[in-house]
Amino acid sequence: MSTTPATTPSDDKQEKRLDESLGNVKIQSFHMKCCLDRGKLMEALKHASNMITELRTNQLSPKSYYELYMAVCDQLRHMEMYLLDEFNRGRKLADLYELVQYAGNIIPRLYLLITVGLVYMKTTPGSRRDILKDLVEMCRGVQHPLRGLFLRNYLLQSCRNILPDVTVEEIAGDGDGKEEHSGTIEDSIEFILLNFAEMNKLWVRMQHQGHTRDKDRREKERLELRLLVGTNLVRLSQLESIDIERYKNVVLPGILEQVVSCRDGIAQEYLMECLIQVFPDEFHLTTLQPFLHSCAKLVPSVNVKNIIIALIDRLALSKDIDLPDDLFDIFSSQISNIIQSRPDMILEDIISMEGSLINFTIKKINAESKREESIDSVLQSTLNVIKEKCNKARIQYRTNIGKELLKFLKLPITHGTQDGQTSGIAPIKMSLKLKVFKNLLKDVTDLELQKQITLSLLNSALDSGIEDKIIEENRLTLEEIEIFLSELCEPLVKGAAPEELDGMLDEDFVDEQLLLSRFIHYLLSPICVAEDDLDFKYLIISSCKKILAPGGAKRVRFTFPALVFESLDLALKYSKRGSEEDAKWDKKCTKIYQFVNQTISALNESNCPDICLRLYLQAALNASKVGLKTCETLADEFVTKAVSIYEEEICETKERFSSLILIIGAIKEIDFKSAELKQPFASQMPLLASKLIQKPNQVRAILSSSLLFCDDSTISPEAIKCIKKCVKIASSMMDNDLKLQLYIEILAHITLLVSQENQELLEQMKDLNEKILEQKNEVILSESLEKQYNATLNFLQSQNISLDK
Amino acid sequence: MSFLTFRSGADIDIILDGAENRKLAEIKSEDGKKDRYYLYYDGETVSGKVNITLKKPGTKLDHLGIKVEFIGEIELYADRGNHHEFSSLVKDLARPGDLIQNTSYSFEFVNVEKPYESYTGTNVRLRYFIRVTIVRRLSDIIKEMDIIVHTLASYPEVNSPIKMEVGIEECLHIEFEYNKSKYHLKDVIVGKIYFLLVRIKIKHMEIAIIKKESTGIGQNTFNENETIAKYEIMDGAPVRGESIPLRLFLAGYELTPTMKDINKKFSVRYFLNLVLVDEEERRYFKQQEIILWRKGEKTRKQIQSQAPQSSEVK
Repeated sequence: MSTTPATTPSDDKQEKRLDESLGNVKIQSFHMKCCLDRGKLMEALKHASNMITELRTNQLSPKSYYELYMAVCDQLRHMEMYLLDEFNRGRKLADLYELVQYAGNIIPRLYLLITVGLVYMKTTPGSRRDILKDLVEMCRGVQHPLRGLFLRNYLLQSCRNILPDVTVEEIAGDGDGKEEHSGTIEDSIEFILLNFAEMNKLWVRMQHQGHTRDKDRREKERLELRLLVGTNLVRLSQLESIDIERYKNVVLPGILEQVVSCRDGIAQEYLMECLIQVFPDEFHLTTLQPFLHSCAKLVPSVNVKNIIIALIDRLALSKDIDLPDDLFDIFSSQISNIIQSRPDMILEDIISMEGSLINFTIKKINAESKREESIDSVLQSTLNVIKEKCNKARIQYRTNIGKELLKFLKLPITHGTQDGQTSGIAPIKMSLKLKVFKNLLKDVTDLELQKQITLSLLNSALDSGIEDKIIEENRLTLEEIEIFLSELCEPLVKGAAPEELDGMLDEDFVDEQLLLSRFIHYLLSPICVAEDDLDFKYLIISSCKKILAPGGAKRVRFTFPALVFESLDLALKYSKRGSEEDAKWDKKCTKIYQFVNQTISALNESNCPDICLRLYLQAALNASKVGLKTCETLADEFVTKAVSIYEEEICETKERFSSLILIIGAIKEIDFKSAELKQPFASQMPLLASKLIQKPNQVRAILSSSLLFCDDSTISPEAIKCIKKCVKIASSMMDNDLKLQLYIEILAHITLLVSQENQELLEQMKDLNEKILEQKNEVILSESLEKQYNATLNFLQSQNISLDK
Repeated sequence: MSFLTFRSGADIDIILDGAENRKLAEIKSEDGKKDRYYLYYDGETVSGKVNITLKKPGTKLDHLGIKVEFIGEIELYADRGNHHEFSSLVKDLARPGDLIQNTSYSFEFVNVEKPYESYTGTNVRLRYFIRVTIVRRLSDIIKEMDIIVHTLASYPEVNSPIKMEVGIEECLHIEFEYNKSKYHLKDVIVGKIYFLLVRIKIKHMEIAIIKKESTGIGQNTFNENETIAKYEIMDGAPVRGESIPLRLFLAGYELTPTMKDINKKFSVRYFLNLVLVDEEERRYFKQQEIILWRKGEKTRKQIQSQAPQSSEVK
């Protein structure tokens, strides 16, 4: 192609030239066949030669040349068939083999020589060795890359079925002691290796011919032609007599020598991958050392990583063969060898190469401890390389290296787990077992990258949930939990929290913290801890608190509630055991409530009174149920705290109302036996209620607090007082609609109390109903209100209570 | 001459002994056609019969004697009239007298020396022929018959390969090797061309066989070069370290043995010309003389052994 005119021939021109050439091939082949039909071999050969002369062109692109080549080859098959017949008619092929060599031009001469030589070899097996040698040698005369490649391809394709595929021993075994045997596998190997070497040289040479500005086009053309070179390797792989020994001692050294010495990136990369693909796994296993050793010697432009990965992946997928024990060590040392010898290799490639080694480890090393040890050693060497290459800079998540490293780090934790279990707690367990894993995270990655790993660990645990199969050996020890939370989860539990924007926290931050809080629950689920190991659970909870507390207000807001709930749950469990099972249960419970109290107080620092209030109430309710001697005092204390938060910190109207309702509900639910404790709350509630700003809320809150003065048997006068107060407040409303609504609500509320006959209450109801009826004349009831009213009336009717005066 | 012959009324036929078994050989005639004549070797006896047939039977043909000659001569085309006979043997067949009837004479030139090979070149011809002359007063009746002589050589005692390194400084260095320096006419030239340095863009390489014929001596020397064979041996540009094979069968080409200073009249020498052509069609070449010789064939022995047999029959 070097001789093509400076301008690239346009497609049109190409097509025209190709058509011309194909036309000539057609004409000449027609004449050739006519002559063959009439038995005029000499003339037929002349036409064949003319036809082949078309292949002398240097005007065609590789693609067009290929088309032309195929057309010529097709026609040469006719010649071959004819010559076979000729032989059967008694013609001496040796003479013919000489005769075609008079052709003055080398291209037609060699194509014809190969064609005749093939027939010669087919009909006279004894000639094979010499003819093969001669043909492959004579082809040296074509030094033009494109023409040479196709000529040698013709040679290789023509000879494919007659290459000797027997060993010397097999021939000797036949025992007929022929002096001129028809060749052995050695002859075939020599033939192909030589042809391969020559083709590769031609192929490589293409790169260096012509203008530099055509480099891209040339590389493209070279890629189009690579199959021609690779076919040599395919052919070798198809020879059955090549056993492991022969491959190791003859075939591979020959190929590698050529590949390494050609010093051409495109060729080296293609041929090494080709080697991996065409030969069986067993062969690769025996020849890892030389193969990998050669990889280290390839030119810098070769992406060695692809080759290594292809090899490792291929072996990782291999079935039915026993891999040697030291395979990992070989890979490992050769990879570091390659990294050493190629200082320009980019970090991404190194990482992905190490990654494939991990992949191999996971798939092929069955012994658990050995596997973990191996993965650790890969992690360690990766860590070393990164440290060396990055010069203390951390790898940023948003770079290519970062992405590659993330992928790499996920490998051992998403796949490297026992029993094929790749989810649940197992990845976390694995991340802790691998000694270097956290170092790698902490030493060379930026926070964001580390966070991605943390999140993926948490997600994998939470995605499979607590319904997962329990595997006891996967459970974490307390120490592991502490390390995991404090070190691996560092990006979530430590550091500066983002600034609030318009009072809103960053969405991602919130999601992360919620994930963390879910994980706390997960840690206390049966997946992670035995259901009855309450002491351990307590240790987990308090450890968590210790680790999470420094995270700051914005974080504990999300994580502490989880701790509180888990603690309360734990207290209940202790109380269920009672003193028979656990003599110290009450002390433990008390301790838990102290812990809860501290936790909520600490939480209160972070400006979330609503949450703290609810948690206190929850604690109060919980404490009231555990059956401790001190339970009412405890509950009292928690409620008091809730009330004081209500009084001091909750100011938003709606929030105040709903908090108050909660407090009232909690007090009612706790149902203090000690009047001493109950009374102050009961009397305080209506007061607090009447301090609410909106009247309807006042009414509703007072109505609720009225229930504090009633129990199953009595309705205290205070309750009636409350109701009266409500009616009074309702009457004072300006808005008639609202007034009527409140009346109906009050009436409905009273129905809660009618089971106890109370004359005063009945009077109240009658008055109220009168007012309702009165109002109804003026205001049209809304549908829902009408419904509520009717339901109330129906209920009273069913209780045989008449509101008629 | 035929007119004269007709008038004189006698035809001469020369019939060589053992002609039916003798091989024929081809040689170019002056006008470029190919003639086939009987083939003889040096030292072989040339014998046969001369038949004289009278055109008009019964008419007397008087003559001054009848002779048969064996002649080897060199004709230089530049010097038409002058034929240089290097070999001339005469036998008288009849004394002067009258021929009354058709007559037949036997003749024999025993173990004739035929030192040179028959040759037809561009400027020179070397031929052997038998001439029968009926000497007459006015015009002789003459009949000539060409034969061809091949000179055979035995295997050269010294036949070292030709090896040579040539080049243009900083541009092209090659080393070539031809397996022999002396080839017989059916031989194969086997060689290799190594490229030690290639800084020019070579397009192809060919080898040519050139025949150099020189005639005359001194200032009157004529040189004639003729390319007998042109044979492409490489397509495309090699790189340093490449070695290109050469194999050229000689049997298919019209070659003669190398002839040196034949009778001080002419020489025919052969050269191998290795030519490299670059992309600008510049030609780089190196000529190297090879000696060609004719190897005796197996059939030669048959002929020799048959010759005495046939004479025995006689």
